Amino acid sequence: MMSLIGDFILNTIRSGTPIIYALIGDLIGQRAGHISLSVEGSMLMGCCLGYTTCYYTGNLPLAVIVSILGGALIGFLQAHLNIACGANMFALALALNYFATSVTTYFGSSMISKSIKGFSKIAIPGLCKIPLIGNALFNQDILTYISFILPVLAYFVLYKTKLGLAVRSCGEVHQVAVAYGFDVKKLKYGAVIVAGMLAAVGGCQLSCAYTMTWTAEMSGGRGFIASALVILCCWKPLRAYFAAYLFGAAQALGILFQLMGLPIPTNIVNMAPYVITLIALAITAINKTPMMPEELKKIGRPLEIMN
Amino acid sequence: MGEVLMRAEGLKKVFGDFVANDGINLEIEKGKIYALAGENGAGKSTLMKMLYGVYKIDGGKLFIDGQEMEKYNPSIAREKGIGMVFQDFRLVPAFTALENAFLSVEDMGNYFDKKALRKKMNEISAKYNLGVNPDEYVWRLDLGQRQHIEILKVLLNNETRILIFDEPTSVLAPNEIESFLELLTTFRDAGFAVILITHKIHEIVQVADVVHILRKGKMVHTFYREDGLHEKDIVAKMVGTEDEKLANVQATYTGEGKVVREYKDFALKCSHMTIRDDYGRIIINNSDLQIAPGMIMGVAGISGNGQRELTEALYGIRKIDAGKISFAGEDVTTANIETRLEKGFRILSEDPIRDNLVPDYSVLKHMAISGFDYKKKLLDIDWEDLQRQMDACEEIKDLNVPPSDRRAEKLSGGNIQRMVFARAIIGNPKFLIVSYPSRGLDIATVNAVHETLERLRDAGVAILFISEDLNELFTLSDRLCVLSENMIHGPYLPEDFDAEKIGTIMLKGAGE
Amino acid sequence: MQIAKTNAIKKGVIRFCIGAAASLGIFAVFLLTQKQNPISVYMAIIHCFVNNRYNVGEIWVHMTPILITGMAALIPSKVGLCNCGGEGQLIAGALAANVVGVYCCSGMPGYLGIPIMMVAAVAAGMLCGAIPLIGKMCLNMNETLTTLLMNYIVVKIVAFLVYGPIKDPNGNNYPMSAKLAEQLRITSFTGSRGNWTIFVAVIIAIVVWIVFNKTELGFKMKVVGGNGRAAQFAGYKVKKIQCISFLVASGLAGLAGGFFMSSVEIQVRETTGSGYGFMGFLATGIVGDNPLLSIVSSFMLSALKACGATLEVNTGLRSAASMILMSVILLVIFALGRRKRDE
Repeated sequence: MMSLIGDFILNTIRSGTPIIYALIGDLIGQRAGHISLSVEGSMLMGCCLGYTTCYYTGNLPLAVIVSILGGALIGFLQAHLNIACGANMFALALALNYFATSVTTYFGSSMISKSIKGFSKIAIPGLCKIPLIGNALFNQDILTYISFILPVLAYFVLYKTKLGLAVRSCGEVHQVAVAYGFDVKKLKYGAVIVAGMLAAVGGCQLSCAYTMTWTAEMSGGRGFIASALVILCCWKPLRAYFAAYLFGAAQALGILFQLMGLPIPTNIVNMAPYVITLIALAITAINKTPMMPEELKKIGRPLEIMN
Repeated sequence: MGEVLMRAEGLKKVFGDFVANDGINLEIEKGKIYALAGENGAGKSTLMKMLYGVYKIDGGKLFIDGQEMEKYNPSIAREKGIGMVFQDFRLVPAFTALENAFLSVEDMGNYFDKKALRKKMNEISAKYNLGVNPDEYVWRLDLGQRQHIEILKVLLNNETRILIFDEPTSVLAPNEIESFLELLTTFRDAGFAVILITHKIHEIVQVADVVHILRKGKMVHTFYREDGLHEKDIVAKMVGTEDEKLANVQATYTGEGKVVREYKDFALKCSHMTIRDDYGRIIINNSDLQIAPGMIMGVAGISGNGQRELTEALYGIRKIDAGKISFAGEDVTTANIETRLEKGFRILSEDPIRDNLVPDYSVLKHMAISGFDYKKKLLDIDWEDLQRQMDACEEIKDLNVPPSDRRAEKLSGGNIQRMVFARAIIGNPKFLIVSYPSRGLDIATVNAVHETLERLRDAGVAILFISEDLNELFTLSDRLCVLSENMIHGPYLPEDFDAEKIGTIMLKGAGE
Repeated sequence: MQIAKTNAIKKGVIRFCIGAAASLGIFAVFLLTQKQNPISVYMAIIHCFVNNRYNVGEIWVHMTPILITGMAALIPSKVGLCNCGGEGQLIAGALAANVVGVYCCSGMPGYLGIPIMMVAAVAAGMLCGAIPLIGKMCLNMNETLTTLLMNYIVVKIVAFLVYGPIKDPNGNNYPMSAKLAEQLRITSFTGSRGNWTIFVAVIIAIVVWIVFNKTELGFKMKVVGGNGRAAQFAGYKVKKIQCISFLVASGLAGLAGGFFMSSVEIQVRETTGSGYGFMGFLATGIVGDNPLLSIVSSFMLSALKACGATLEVNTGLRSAASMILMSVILLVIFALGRRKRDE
């Protein structure tokens, strides 16, 4: 029984880690007023590029860097084609995801069903022996450890620095940011590219630390889910823990039920994060407290002129 | 004699062919309150934007501390100690006052030291009794409180010496206005130079030391407190009734030859009408209005006193808070726009671009949206027939409506005005609401507009006519009402059409 | 006005040509890195379809759902709403068609059963669209996000159903639903999987074009989408027009699902209909919401999707390459756009 629970917690953390990266990434982008559904593509690029670099060079830091570059490329295209060329944010993201999928499937086909020695786990002495949670929290790879503090970092930047405040004002009333001398375009580009980069690291974690393998379309919709979960977080970085691990728990629960032979359908459990997100959207709509960045409310309508 | 902080010499600003400001000279001294007064469109806003560096100066020079400003923008203005409190507050509603302030300060670095900023804000707030709570979310605050945050933001800059306020009391409730005016005198006594942009005479008289009057882009007069400030003098200069000729109206109203019409039955009857504005405040309270067929009811009033809300309520865009509206004996209080259109309601709104313009649609298409009864050809609108109707229409020709195939969004403001006005008067209106119909039009077209309104009146249409030009109102109206102090005052007969009398009512209401 | 229109069309065609040339060029560079001759690859793509009935049929197979869901995205955009839920609405329609077909219509003749299935499909699509619509009209919830979320929810519901309630009892325990009875399947052209639904799709696109450009209704709809306030001032019933448009659109997407199920898919799988709604959204997105041009873009996307497998056989180029070409074309077309600026 104990080992089942322990495994459940472990699986929750494992499933949630790539989500946290993409979630925080897109959260920053959405705070700037731009929804990056292409974090799915960025994550996939990160998966593939990280794995490939690892496979051919065995150099882990390099793998992360190459992943980041791949994610940054997708993020840059997402920002540029929308802001400078007027492409619809969602259609563009879909196209970018197709691009990432096709490119990674094509180039990655030779590496399917091979494996690498990726990031090894670093056990924190003492703490990793704590029953139930020790293995899950203190016996992980470095990228997972970083994911633990990522929401806090994001919170710090967004709420405690001028840059972060400027990014947030960009997503609320961008005329105010302009009035105080901030370059709104640069802020948006920056936020979206950062979103791509973070999602890519999440993908790198997926292939180089979690599974140590590569399969086509490995990201499996995690990027999309992360984008949706940003809404569940009500755009607050610290809630990312809740949202990401809620999703992770849903997945882990599915595995648990299968192991225990319970007939509760995993698909219903997997649907839970989306339904909860929909409810969260409704609540933010009814609630008088502004939670959704104002600029996001205008999405779908003809976009405004950037100063 | 105080220290001269800022001096303007012959400032000029043009937008295309339109001269917004011409030959403006002024001096701003420490420890004085300056009022820049004028009606809407007089050029106050443009002048202020030049003083703050938002607009580039097209002619003349600007000196600060005796130094000519060759390169000038808001950052430099702030450095030189000029702080501007905007009418549309530069505040993010989702942030706290503290966060909004942090966004605007330039000397506190990148890390958000909440404690330090909070302390500073509390100090300034206490000093001038602004009552700002730094940790309150802006969306919770009313407009008066938001304005205090804007003021505090400006004062956070240690360099600030000149405070510019753009129409600051337009969003305040009457009791807030009094405390705001007191605040201005506090600033003045503390050594700031205060520039107040406004069209509210009462406030000018209460606090200003120097009053510069702008009309049609020029500075036409300056009053000094030591010589005595009198409201009627100020009104006269603002509105220009002492001038021989005004550009837009043929002659100064004298009342000669005016036919005084008698009315027995009324078509439009509004009783105990209360209307709220977009912020939920009551802007017209428990007022009555009656317009008869064959009457032009002029509406005078300083802008911002409920003109837009009144027209929206009568047309059906805005629900009234209380009261009844009936037309031709039928209650239309809750009737939707389609019903009112059927009854013959037509409108020329104050902002046709916002209210009527459809992107990518031609003039002809706009005529199909409203105005003409088009025929149907199979499932489509019979465009050829519509074009024929347009070609045959006298009003279209008289008003110089631009050609049918022009894209409406590309037209000039005046042309859009022509198009929308023409639409409103075609097709037998029974009740016509026109707001500022002469705006942006040349003299010939303005005459055509006036003739059209008179012709409609003679044909029995009830007309509500809003204008900022008293002469125009006096010339055309059969009866006049005044929007002021949240009431509809009147109706006044032609014998009462006197600039001083009506001007006073515009300022203070009729209760005196 | 005529001159302005022809100029706009000229500009569009020029942009399209530049886009095509640029994409082909970029892809050619990619091909060279893969030690392929670009010319022979392009010839091979064309050869996929010459004298190959099956592959041409595949174009129609893909084009029907892509074109119809494209319309499902286009119609709401004209009235100021954004429907990203074509994906889920299609899948819901496919599901409904199968379920109704299997459980209600198995005994019926085709000319009765198929229409009933299609009605169920339309209804399912509308139901899918109704939820975000209510959210928008009553709570002012952003419909772009809610329609997107609905997509995922629908997919999960389908997955749940095929693993359980509707699993085919005769299907060797695979997670698939029962197959539709023979007479309930839309017959294909000989030698391929293509069928008459493509004509319906094209007719729908043409009808949409006619409605928006040649009818009073379309005229009013464009006013609602162009300036809602202007529509209000003119006395139009804005909410009614928006609601009906949105429901029609989501119903159309459902219909596309029904067609797909009855003609090609036959049974419901976890991945039934996956991707078509998004491709439809893209197909209209790259041609600026023009129904007739959507026919062209849907054709192009479908052709690229259809030639993948054959391409691999003929050139040794892995099938993912055709997807690379497609995404390059899409990105290049987006890159050629320019943000509209007010003067």
